[in-house]
Amino acid sequence: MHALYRRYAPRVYAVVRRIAGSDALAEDWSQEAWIRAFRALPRFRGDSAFSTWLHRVAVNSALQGKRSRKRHDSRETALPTTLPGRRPRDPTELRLTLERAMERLPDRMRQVLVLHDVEGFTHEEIGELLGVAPGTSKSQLFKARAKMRTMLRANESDEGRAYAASDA
Amino acid sequence: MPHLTLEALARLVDEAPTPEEESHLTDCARCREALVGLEDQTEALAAMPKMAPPPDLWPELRTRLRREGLVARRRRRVAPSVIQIAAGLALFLAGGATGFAARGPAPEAVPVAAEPAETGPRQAADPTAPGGAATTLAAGGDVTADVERAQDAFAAALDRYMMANSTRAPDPAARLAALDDIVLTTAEALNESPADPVINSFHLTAVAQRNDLLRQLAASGEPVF
Repeated sequence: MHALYRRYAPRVYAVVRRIAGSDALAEDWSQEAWIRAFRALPRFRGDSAFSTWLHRVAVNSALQGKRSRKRHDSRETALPTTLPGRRPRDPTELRLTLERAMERLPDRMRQVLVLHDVEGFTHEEIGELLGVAPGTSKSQLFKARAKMRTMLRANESDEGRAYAASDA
Repeated sequence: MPHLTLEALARLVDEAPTPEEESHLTDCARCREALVGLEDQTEALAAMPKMAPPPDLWPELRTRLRREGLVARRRRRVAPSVIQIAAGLALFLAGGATGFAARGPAPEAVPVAAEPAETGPRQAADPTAPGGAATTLAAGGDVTADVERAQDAFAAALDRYMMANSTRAPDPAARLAALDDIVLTTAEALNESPADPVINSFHLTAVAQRNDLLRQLAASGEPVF
């Protein structure tokens, strides 16, 4: 069990964390995902790769967690507006900025963006997972991308001003 | 034509533009730049890395798994069989691989690996160490932890086994006997833990390798014993 966990935990945690949008929820829901997976393991038929099956279990657990949560904690984490006075060229910094921007998206937009752009699900698959039409998934994705872009541009502008100020 | 909206541009990351959109993009540097920004953003999202879970997640999870009965607190008599597998395979590697290197039979390797499990404290050769250094499997400690260590040792041993067989010419008789032993011991372990995916994978690998070897031997027509 531990060997399985060690091998797949980073992937499970990543998808759950990004759908959850917060560490606290991600810890609970990824634990739930593993419990579900271990419960279902005897029924795993091997008609897909184990990693694919487990990934699907993790996504379902996170979405179920979202659904059963009546009121989620409002995420007040703001984008860093005063990062060091330079543009986020560093890949780590860029990833952090992207993670924070994703956290600020409305739930449904974030779910679709994570499932499509990060995890590579198709709109048909997302439609099945979320119980919506593929067209709705597409529309949410385009809105999410646009909103992300707006947030990232605002962040870049703030950084640009900070950079100019530090040069003056 | 007015500028394309960000949502429309977001669609163009995946889909072809209409003739009007294409014409506008040709003329409008601002929209082209925005589209490139969206493409970069999408590319960066696709490359987002995995995330390491908090280190205390596994202990908490293991406690829950035990509480819910998904991981049985194995009785002490169960543990030696799994440990035996790791120890047997590790001993095979430590002895057998050395024998392979000398391109001669390794008479001491297989009988040792085939010995029945002993009760009480045991030591298994560390299959990850070049000389097969010892890793202690504590009999007096947490049995589940012992089993987990055995599984880890088993996985590492299997890697070494594959490596040894891909780079050296093994003695067919010793190899066949060792594979027989692995198949038998993993089958016994599966009687106790039929759903264990790790043991299942080891068992199937060993069976496949044994069958491959038998096929090769039959095709070569050379006497083995």
